Amino acid sequence: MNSLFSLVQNETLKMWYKKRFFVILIILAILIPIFTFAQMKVAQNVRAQLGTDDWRVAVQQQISDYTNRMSSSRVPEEWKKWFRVTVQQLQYYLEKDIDPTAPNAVTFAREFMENSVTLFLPLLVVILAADIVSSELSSGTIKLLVSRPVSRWKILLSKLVTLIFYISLTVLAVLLLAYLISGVLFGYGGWNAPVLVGFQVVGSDVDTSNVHVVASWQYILMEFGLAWFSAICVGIMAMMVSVLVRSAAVSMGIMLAAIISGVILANMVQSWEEAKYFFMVNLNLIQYLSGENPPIAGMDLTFSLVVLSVWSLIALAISFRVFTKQDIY
Amino acid sequence: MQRSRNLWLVIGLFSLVVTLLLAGGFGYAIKDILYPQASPILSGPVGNSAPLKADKVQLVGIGDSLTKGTGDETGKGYIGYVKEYLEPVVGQPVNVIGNMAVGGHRTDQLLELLEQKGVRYTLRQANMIVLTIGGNDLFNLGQDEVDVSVIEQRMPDALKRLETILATVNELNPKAELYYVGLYNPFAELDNGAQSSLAVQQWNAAVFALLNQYPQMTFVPSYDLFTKNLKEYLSADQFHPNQMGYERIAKRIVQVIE
Amino acid sequence: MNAQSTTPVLSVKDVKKKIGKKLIIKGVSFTVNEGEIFGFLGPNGSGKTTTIRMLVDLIKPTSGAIEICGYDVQYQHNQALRYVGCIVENPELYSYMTGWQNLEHYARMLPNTGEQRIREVVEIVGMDQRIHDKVKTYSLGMRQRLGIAQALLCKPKLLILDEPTNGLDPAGIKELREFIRKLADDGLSIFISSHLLSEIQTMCDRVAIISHGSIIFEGGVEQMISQAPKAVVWQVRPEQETLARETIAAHENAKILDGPIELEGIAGETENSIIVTDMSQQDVPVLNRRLTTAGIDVLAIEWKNPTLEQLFLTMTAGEKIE
Repeated sequence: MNSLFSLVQNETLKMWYKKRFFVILIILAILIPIFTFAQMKVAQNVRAQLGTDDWRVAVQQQISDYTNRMSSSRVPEEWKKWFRVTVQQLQYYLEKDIDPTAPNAVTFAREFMENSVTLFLPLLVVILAADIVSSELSSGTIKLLVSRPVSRWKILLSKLVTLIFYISLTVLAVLLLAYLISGVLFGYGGWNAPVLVGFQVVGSDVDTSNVHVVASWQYILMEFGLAWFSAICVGIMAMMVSVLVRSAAVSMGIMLAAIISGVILANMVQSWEEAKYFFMVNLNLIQYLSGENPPIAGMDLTFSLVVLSVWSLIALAISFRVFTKQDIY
Repeated sequence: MQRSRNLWLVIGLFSLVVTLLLAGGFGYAIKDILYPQASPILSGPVGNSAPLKADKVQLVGIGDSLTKGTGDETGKGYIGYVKEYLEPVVGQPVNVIGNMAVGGHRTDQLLELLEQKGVRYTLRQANMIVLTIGGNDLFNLGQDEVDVSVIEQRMPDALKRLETILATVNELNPKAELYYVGLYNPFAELDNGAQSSLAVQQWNAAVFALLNQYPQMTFVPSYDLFTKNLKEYLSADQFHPNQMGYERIAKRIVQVIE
Repeated sequence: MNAQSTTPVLSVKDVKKKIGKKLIIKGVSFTVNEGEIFGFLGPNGSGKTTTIRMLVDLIKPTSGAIEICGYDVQYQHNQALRYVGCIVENPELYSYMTGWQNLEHYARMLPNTGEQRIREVVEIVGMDQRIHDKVKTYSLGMRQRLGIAQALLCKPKLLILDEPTNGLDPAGIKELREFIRKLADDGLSIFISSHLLSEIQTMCDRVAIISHGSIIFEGGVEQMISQAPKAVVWQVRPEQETLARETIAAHENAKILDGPIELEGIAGETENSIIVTDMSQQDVPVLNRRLTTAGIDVLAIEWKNPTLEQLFLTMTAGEKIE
């Protein structure tokens, strides 16, 4: 136990000195202002089109638009289903007089994570994890590492713990930077603004019987918790690739391909239902919180959690098996 | 030496706390999604004060596909042209703050719509409302034929509902000017065109009577706009107006306001 | 060697390693005793590096056992490697950290090894000046020293050094030799691999030679050298070379070695003619007298060691004759 503690300390410091985390902070510090600006433009545009800055009118107009599109025969059935769900949610917000898109730093952070969870956050995780083992192999430092009086599984475990630590820090960094940077334009309030959760999609209808209000900070906590979990699953997959593949570039390429294919597949699963068993299609856990219609029927939080957990456990088993048995040349 | 230990303590402890926090958030989210518990929702009053800004026209449309603008390839519909023509006349900006018309709606569906909070709220924000309704009640029979007896049979109920609609709108926003665009007869050139035209006129007259109860409501006739050269003003579906047809309706509304 | 030690520090028993279908190591056995410097000689590709990697559990043997201080490396990894310091190939350290941070890193992987010990080893290798600089700014010699410091952290009973003089300049090699000698005098067992015969000869007490995955010799350094043909190199004036060759050839106990013979440490730039002979020690003065009588100016007489390759040639050729 004591040695594991020291090993985690080693790995944590190495990751820090490697300055990977700073790279992530810099990427965020560059991208978030861009998104903030884009968001502001969108808001201005919407306002200009509607000629009103009254959110209720804006939401009502959205409802009317969706309703009209639903009545059109040219719109595909799946879309109509999604429109209906969205309209019902929006009506619920109007009913309860809660602005679903109150523009402030908190909602920006919320939406930023919503949009990041399938692609951007996994990419950041890959930056951390892609060479967590392979860098030791390619630099040769692995030889000193595993010839010390410490079991190999402990070394890999310490790397896993460190990875989880840094993923947590990354998720937090996304929140803090999104909040602090966007607050310059949108204002820093909004932690207590109410958010409705508990929409359950049943067929093409929304069950609102369990809808309840949470404060924005509670919503953020839940949302980032879910994002954190899927980020860890990505991290575990990346670590496995890093154990199996020596080159950091190759392992990064493999992970990028997997993540991007997940984004593409998520749009195609309507026609190919088995795709829902891929881990990368299940990364968007947040959609179950916000009550969006999932991409494939039969996918719900439990399903996605099971898929992610099974993939992660298999990846862990492979990583530990290979790492402890492997001959190091 | 001491530095790396301090660094470790800071990173280690901090990331441990963050990890636990996020794990907690994850657990909380699972609990909340899988075992949601309805809680009383603090329902604030939807803003009742209608901020009627005197410096601009706040236009809202409700009703059926005519207000929606179906058939106009430019997508503007008569509301779009009203905005265009009215602005120079009143010398104020005309804001279309909402067009809540839904294609295919009948009086009963409009009544339902008026129950929705967002719709009610939006209507309260307006100082000018345009409305078309009734066409689908009378003509939308699911067949190409126009059966005049059916129209006459349906008219009384539809008028009753329209009465309720007007009362509701009046209650919501008595200050907003309402313009009801009367029906025209797209089937005038069919065999029983004369009879159906009569029925349409009958409807328009009855609606005119209903609107007369409220001083802020005005009937805008469109029947005469579509009597001569009907085909020229109808879109490909032979039912909705085309761009020219909508432009004529809009001009008529602006004339009435003048 | 050391009477009081009952278990050897390192014992390798009939270790084999198969990679794919190919038997890379074909049953290697040797022992290293306490306080001795053990040389492990073999050319590149002989299985030398694979064997060393098996010593520190980087590679698992297909069969056989490796024990350090009585503990099996594979099954009692932690106890076996507790008192082993090693540098396998190059001293590969984390270049993005300082020397000190690297040492801290490895110290944390050892029980009861603190800052005090780090200071000690830094002092032993004499790196106090630049220990807080990033490793990427170090020269190879400094990295080598840091590598040794790292290996010494655990107060090793066995130090495994793989080609420790690789890339060092002559002064560095000399310094390292003296350093290793000093460590051995303090009771450390040291295992040094090399492909240079002279290096092993000057540093080691005992030697094992590996070729094509098998040990072809294990024993004392003297014993090894005696198996090798020792060449006597005569230097004469170029104009007297023909006469000198005739005189030497006339001597019944001397044999002139023809063809290109690689010898360690012959100055290439000499203008003198060189005649290499194979002969015993007592015949050297006899032949010298004859040459002098014949009027030949003998400019130099030298004993030279053959290279490892030549040693191999003799050793394997000898086997074939038997």
